[in-house]
Amino acid sequence: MQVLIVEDDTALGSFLQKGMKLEGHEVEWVADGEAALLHVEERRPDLMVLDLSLPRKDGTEVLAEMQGRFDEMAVLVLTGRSQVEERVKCLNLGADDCLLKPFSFHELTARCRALLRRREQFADPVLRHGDVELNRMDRRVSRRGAAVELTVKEFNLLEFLMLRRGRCCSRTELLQEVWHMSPDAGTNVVDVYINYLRKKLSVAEGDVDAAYPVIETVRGEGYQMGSMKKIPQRVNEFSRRAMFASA
Amino acid sequence: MQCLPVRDGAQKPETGLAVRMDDALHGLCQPLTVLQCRLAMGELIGGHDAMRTAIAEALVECTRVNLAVSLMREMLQHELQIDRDMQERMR
Repeated sequence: MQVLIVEDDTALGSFLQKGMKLEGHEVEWVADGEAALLHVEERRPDLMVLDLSLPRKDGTEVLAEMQGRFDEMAVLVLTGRSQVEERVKCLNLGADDCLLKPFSFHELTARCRALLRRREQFADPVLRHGDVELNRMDRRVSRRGAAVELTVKEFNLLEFLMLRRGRCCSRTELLQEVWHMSPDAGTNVVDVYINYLRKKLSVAEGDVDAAYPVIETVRGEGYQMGSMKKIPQRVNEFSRRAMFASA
Repeated sequence: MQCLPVRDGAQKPETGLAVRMDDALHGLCQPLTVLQCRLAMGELIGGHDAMRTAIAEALVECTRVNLAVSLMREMLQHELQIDRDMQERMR
């Protein structure tokens, strides 16, 4: 799961990042309210651990700006102030839970696990990217409604990329997270499987509407799901070509 | 070492005691949280090195805890002095 820590206290922020990484999450840490909002907009994390006393927009302002916009993300508020009114305000603004400082590490991780468990239960099992659909429950993939048969590793690779759409995943990261191999393994298995996926997801020749790259190569970095912004441009380009061909 | 996370102006004597106390308590909660969690995490990871790192980081937080305690003590002494002065005047 992707977790965002929003905490301006360096020692606490650093600890929270280490602690959540120990729990097996992918963790980012920002130190102010504005950076938190930007991060949520770009990355859409699964869980936000939010401190209330923050520079550049405090925790309640962050909650107010996010209200009703990122329902798929769980928010755990951390507060050092004991007033009930403050906690009630946070919950009314969309926070899922509040934890009063000082708290124990075990309680923090248990609450995070509970929140993520609850979110997963009600989350849509289908990941969508353009006309590609991946059902995490049935482990089925389709493109434009047509089933695409994938092996277990191909499915895991596509799922990993779709869960992180909008950002580039390095070969090292894919090797570690999907294959559980060391980055020093010296293998091109990632590139080979990306090619398998591209072939299986490629559409029939002449099907111009769907001719955008499902998986893009980011030179020198790795791979990411194709940018949706390119679709209209590409479709237009193909449509133009089709028009010229038929004229 | 980090400063205590207290709001600007909150610790001025003209601000009410309850507000100053609330702020100082908040300042105490930050290092206490790190202290407690850091030790628990060290224990969870286990091993000599992990415990050593946890203890080193915990000791830094102890300094912050001490700072918060002295701040609260000063605040209390200031209030006690005010009370004593008032009683003197009443006599």
